[in-house]
Amino acid sequence: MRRKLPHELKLPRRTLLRGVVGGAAAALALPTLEAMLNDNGDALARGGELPRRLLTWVFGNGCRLDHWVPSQTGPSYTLTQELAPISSVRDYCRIMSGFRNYVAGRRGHHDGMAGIMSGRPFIQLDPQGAPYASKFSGESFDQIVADIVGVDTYFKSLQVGVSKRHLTNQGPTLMTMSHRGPDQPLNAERDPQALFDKLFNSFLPSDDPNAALRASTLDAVLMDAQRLKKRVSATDQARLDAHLEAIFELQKQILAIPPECDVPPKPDVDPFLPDGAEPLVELNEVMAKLVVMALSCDMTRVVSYMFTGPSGGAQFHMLPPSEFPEFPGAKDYSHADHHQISHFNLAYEQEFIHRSTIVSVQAFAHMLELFQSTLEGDGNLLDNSCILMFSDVAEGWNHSEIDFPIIVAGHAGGRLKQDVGHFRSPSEESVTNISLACIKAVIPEPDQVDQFGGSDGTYDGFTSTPCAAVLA
Amino acid sequence: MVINPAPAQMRRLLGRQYVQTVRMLLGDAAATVAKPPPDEQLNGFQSIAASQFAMNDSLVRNYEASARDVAAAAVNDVANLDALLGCTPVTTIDEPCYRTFIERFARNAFRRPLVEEEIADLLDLGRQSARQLGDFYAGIEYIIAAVLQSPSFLFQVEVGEEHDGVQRLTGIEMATRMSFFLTDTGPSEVLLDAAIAGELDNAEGVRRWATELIEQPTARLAVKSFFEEYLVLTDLTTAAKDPNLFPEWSPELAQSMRGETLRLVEDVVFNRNAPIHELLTATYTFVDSNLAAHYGVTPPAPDVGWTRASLPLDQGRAGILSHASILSKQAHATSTSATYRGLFIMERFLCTTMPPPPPDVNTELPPSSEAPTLRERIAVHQEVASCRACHFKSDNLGLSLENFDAIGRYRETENGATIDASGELDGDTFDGVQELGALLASRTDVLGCMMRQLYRHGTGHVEVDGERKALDWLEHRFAESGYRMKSMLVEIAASELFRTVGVGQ
Repeated sequence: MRRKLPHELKLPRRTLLRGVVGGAAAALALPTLEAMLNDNGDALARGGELPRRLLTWVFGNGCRLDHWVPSQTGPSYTLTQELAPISSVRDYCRIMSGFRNYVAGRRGHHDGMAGIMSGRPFIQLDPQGAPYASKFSGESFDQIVADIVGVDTYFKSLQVGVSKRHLTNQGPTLMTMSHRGPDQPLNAERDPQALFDKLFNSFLPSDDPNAALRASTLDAVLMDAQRLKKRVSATDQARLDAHLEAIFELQKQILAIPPECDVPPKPDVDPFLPDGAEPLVELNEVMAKLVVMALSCDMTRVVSYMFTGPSGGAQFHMLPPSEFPEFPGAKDYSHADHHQISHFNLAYEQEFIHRSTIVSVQAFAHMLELFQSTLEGDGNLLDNSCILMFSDVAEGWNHSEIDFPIIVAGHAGGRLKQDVGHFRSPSEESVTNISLACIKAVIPEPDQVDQFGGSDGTYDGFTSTPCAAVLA
Repeated sequence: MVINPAPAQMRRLLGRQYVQTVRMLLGDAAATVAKPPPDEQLNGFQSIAASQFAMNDSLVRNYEASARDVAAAAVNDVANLDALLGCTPVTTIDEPCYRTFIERFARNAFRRPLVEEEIADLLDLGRQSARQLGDFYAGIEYIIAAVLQSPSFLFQVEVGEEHDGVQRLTGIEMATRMSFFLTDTGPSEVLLDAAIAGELDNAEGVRRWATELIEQPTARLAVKSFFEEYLVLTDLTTAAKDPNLFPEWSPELAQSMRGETLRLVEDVVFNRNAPIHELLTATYTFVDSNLAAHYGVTPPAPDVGWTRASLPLDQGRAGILSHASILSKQAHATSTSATYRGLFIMERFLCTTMPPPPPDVNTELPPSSEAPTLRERIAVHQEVASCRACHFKSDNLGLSLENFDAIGRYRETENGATIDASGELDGDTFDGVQELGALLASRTDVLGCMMRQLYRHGTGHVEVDGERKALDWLEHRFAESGYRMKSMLVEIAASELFRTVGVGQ
């Protein structure tokens, strides 16, 4: 018996993208899980499995490990204070502790982002006394997945951010989680209205005569890029290839027939409160809802989500001194730079970091609950997703890089082990094993990707062994 | 002189360059709707990011939307349309008229003559659009949209031609490089014509044109934009400040602060053509009513937006390091930061930086109940040798600005204790920002560093070893000019270094 979908997430009819791109016919299946399901609602009518999705979710500046890591392992562990917010979805969550980042050791925050997302040491751009910056040295794992599962969706992948107070002056390593290569960061959309427009206001009516002309216009642009390629260096040729790929993607989107997603009202939340702080919780709710809409309409299957930035200055305005009665006369950090506070290894400051971590985990749990309430087939979106949640450092005050806070959530259509609860690696297993497990959990043929990460000769994140504790 | 310049890299137009070039090509109405994506920065400058990062889906989507809006605005700008076309269409698909338009508009936009194949592609698009929509001007609109999305428009492409063992930029490549460098705008039709006629093939010709370009209004904007990046003021208005500690902080006040610093830049560089180091020592500034209240000086008359004012001497202010803009930006939301301020001086004026903190470092500072001033708190920190090694130089520079709080207000005490703003740099001692500014202004390496920053910005890369000798030579030229920025701009543009690139890799 097929379950009724919640009203606002009602899925569109089956649609096909049709069009002519550069003279060649292109057909692209869009959304429509409901129409695509068989009568049992547990698989696609044309025989395939339900699509699996990947969400990578990061919060900045680490946690307090003594309040994060449960003291017991296995499924019946007791939730710690920082994990308490996931109680309603704990059966979907695997707490992964004791993992190590083997490309770490050069620069806090940068190490963690590059290690977990790309499995490779980042490239340092620190020439001659100019301000420090870094970039990824290879593709992030969500993009490896997107290249496989994103081919037929409207967006190959989506990048979303919540806090705008992320660090912008140390290069793309800290700015975004998704990178298609060293010079190809995919920046996160941090404006709810802009994300809404990108998702729901970009479709053309199917009879719009401008659609074909816009595609032809891009054909002329493609010709220019092709000609230019002959004149420039190998590095620039690679940049032009990325440009060409992006133009093809836009052509595909212009010629797409709009999915019949029930479009939610345009978000109406101010990016800043009158006192200058960001309404983090409200922004998160709006962004999470848009992400779930995009996934449930099958507009994309791969999303990266930066709640607060690594080394970022998000403000936790919900934590004024009155929230800390045990510290009479405590300083007001409700408008302070989160990264700055994280470095003070003092009782009150670390209590503040602990409490801010709870706020971050609440935001994560909110996303999981939205996934859970989005029904599809016999289950829900969480059943069909792999979600990797982590931070860029283990603890912020000393940039520790062993034992990162990591949660792997969702069942990925049965690809991920159930009843894991809390798993603690006895051997300081590499974090990249978890990334590789997430790749294999989502792509149609797990054997299609057998390795992940790489080395620069000194730091080595390479793995061919997906984390056995999570991958079924 | 042996020059081995950095390899050539395609450089995407910065947002401001895109808008101003659209303005030059298509007029104000079109420029108003030009909405390029926001710029990023790398190693301190947007142009360096623009030389490395590739396009992606979001950027391409953004440029497409902007190009379509600009194209529609241009064909609806009836007053300017005839001049833009250069012909009067007699049929819906008037091919000669399209060709006339393409040969001129696309040449100016691509900053080079087009080959026949390129003209034919654009002609096809014009014909197809006109036929489908039954309107000659639809063809023009789609041609404009295509040109403005093409990499030939969106990127500066510098390949050069081999010449005495170096890759010398061609005349039209040089026109593009110097025009963006000096005016943040693509080369004008006249400059392109001059380049094609060979006027930019030697240093003298480049110097002559550069001298002309820096007198244009866009040159003032370009220099101010450079300083805005160089002094890290681009996102000052969204800086976070604790409203309980700093209730007067607002985006408007921040905007005034930014305006003050850029006005002093314009005054020193253009109005007075004074030595650039006066930026570090000026005892006057510019204030609006917001800032006059902030500094405690006489506000401008009600009908005057901005006025020149003497900095209050009793606060020991002098030069941009005592401007509220820089002091606010280089601070935390709740407190000052000697490290931010010191590192800013090191990176921006001494061209040196700090290595990363060692792994597992404890950056804890003692509470203010035990150590009332930041200097005392840092002193405890600096007892640890591994911290002291890197923080000594930066923090001791930054501590000399402690008389100014996290939004640049003057103060003599912190937590009731008197602030000590003395410091030492390479054996020279100073007390407070006035003496620090004077010391920096007297050092030739600081002036050389400022010039190198301009070079980084203008070429989109941090200088490499093979460029050092040429930069040293340029420093001499800069000194000979009495460190005048306008001369420096012209000398950089006309230098052998600026006119060559390395072979791309």
